[in-house]
Amino acid sequence: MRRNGCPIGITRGVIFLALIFTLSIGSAMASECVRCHTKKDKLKAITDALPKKVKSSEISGQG
Amino acid sequence: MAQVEPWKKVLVSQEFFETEHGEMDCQDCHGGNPEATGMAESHQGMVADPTFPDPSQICGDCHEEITENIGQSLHYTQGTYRPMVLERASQNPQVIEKIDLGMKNHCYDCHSSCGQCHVSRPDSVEGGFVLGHLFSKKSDMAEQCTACHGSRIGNEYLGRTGSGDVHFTEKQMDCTACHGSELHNAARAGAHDRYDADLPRCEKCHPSDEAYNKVEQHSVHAGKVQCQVCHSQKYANCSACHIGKDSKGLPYYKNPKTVESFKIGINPRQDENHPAKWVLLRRVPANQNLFDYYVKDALTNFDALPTWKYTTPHNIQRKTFQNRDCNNCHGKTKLFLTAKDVAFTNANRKVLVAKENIPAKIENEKEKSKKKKSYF
Repeated sequence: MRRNGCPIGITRGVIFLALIFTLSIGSAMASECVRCHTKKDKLKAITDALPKKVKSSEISGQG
Repeated sequence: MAQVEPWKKVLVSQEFFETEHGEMDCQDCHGGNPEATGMAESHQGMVADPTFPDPSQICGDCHEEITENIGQSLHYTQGTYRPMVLERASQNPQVIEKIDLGMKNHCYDCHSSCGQCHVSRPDSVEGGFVLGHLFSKKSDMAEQCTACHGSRIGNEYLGRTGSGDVHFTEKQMDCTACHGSELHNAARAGAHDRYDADLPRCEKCHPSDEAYNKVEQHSVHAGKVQCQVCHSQKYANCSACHIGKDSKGLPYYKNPKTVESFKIGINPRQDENHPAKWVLLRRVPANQNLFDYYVKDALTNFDALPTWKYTTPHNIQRKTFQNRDCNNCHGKTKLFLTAKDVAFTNANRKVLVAKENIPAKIENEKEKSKKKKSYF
């Protein structure tokens, strides 16, 4: 039902869509994975503390 | 290839979250525990490349038409490696078991996957996002294709050896300009080597039209001589690959003998798709001692296959030494693969050119050259 000067249905619809959009973006952006994997300094600190991968020093020539 | 710093390998860009793939939750593809805050706990059950070995589970939801077959493509299966090795190997099951172990430790890292062509660098160069986890429809020539196909094809194409390939140096074409979606196809049943796959052909862009036929040498040689024989430069040949583990138990492979040369031989795989009799041959790294670390005398049937194989060097030039003068090939023994060039004569019998079969020198070439200004 439409009231004078106030299209309630449309307003509700816009709010609902905005809510869905915010939640969907939010769920991907909110995880701990994203918190860590988007921060250069944090990743740097973590990877610097990890043991370095060791490769054989006997490798020579081309593959 | 220079390594990417560890943090950079796993740094996700903000742009990624603005793409369709970025709208999905990380765990939908990678698993793990998105609520955990500690590194070990959050990565428990996490799969770095969820597109290997089965691409249909993750990519197949939206890209079914591609993932339907790609799991059987040579990039995924490396399906020609084992049959090729076993053809040269002893039939003893215990020996084969040790060969399999050696291949597992040293050879099978070279596979690729959807992710390793469209998101990150391949495993063989220890991965790492190319563009902060953005998905690229086109694989990156420097970061992805030549990460694996670098020491021969990449170096030739980019001009790190020789003068490069005109398709790159003049036209800036990257790998995907010629190698397209056929790379997603399943390998043909009984595929013997990479040339059994669907590959681009020169004729697609250079058809036998008026301009092509204006060049006299095209009509003389077409169908008999592979395009690369006249239009390639020298290329790398390897001959001494061997694998093992060092004193710390770390696996290695060594391939120390690489020689640049140019050898024309007899096409070992003359068929409808490769009709030319005269083709370029490249020494492959196979050698009898390849598996010595795992088992002695593994390749007792080494002579079953040539060690010089059909090749298509990626260093094409319009004008080359060979096509400047008929007698740069005709009668030029050193350009042809003869018995004195090979270590394993029996293995290469099929591809060797007997001295008497080398196209004879054209005696009146000087007079001919005076009459005809140029081939070009």
